[in-house]
Amino acid sequence: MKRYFIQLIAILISLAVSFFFSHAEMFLLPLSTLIVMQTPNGLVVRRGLEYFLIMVLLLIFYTWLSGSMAMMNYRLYDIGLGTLIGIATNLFVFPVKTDVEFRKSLIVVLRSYSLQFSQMLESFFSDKKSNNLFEIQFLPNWIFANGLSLMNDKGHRHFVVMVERIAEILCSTHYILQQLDPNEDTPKKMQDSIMLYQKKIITIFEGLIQVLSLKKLSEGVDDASDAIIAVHEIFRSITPDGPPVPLSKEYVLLAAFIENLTDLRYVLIRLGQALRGAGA
Amino acid sequence: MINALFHWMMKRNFKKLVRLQQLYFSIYLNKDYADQDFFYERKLHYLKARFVKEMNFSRFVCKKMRNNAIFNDLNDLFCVVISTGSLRYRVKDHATFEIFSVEMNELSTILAHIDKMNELKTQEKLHAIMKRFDDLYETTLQVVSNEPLKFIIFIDELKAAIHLFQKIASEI
Repeated sequence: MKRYFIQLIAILISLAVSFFFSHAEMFLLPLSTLIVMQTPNGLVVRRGLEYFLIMVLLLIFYTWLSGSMAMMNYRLYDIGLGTLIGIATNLFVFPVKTDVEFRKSLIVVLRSYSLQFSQMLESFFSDKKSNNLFEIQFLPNWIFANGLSLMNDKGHRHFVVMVERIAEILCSTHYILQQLDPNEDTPKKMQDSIMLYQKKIITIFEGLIQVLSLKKLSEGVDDASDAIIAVHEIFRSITPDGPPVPLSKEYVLLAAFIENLTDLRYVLIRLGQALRGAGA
Repeated sequence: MINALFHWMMKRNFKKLVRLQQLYFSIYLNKDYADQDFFYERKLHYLKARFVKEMNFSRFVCKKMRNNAIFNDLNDLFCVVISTGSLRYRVKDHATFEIFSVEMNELSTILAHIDKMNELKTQEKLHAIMKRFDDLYETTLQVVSNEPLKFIIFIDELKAAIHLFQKIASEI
């Protein structure tokens, strides 16, 4: 919404400028303003100038096709002015702070992952198959855009890769839980320890969200190590002599499920360490 | 009209999943993943995000359709394909993947044309490759790898993915 408002302001400015200073077609100046404003966060100047160059090349090509150089200078002048207005508006009218947007995006996805993870486990153990289709949210594309200065930092890149990994773990867990029968003996035996693990993981998620929201971290965030060890122990106690031969489908699915739980904890701990390292 | 549009979209999404699976294979086969992880993760992100975006759009169309089995299968396939990618951060020794290199290359080639190939022949070829995966696990990986269970999970997920690829390819 805010983005559209800024674009509206830019269009109004360019229409006014076009009225007084344009010598070519009336639409060219506002159009070039609008085009150069379609940039991802953090790449306002770079992408804006790239779009400007493309427009100039198109203009040269059009002039060459039409064979008339008469309006070329005026059109070039309009495109240049439009570009200037577009980039300046993006930079100075309610400017987007890339790092703030980055943090906001992380908070949104981490919240959705936390909710999805708890819902997934609760509906599995309550044996209520949800009719809703599984929907996963990924980080916005602009974070991955080429040339984003934020991503020159190795720490930021690592953080983004880890967050994407959570989405993958949730997708995988969703599929596994669809295949597993919650009424079988083994999942039932593991229910308590997994639900305890889930509670601890949710507090880690909440801790991360608190830190990213620049709030003070509340006391008592457990690293869930005891909980994951308990899950592993129960799984091992089911087959004390090692994996069954031949391997049953249920055993492999359970092993995959526990791997996912282990990976999820590992990723969250790494994210916490990264935030602590960055002094966020 | 809606039927044709729906099938066209499902085909596009199916192709995206084929590309996603191939990308995971290429990560396993290229040794530079550890140094260039963000380069690969960016590619993965765009593929996954585009798939989810198009599936969300297809959902609107899907509501008008009575039978949305393909839609659900594609959603499942998306999750399974993603599961097959988890080996890249689970297994520390990347060299272990070389044991599967021939099989992964062959799978990648077959998947590229799976919707155009003779169903029976493809089935036979895929079955033979998956059998070779099992054999490699029994003869080599069980001994060489420190984490054999992770490979069992991978092979199992790969089998589920191949099954769904075949199923959807025969329907679209």
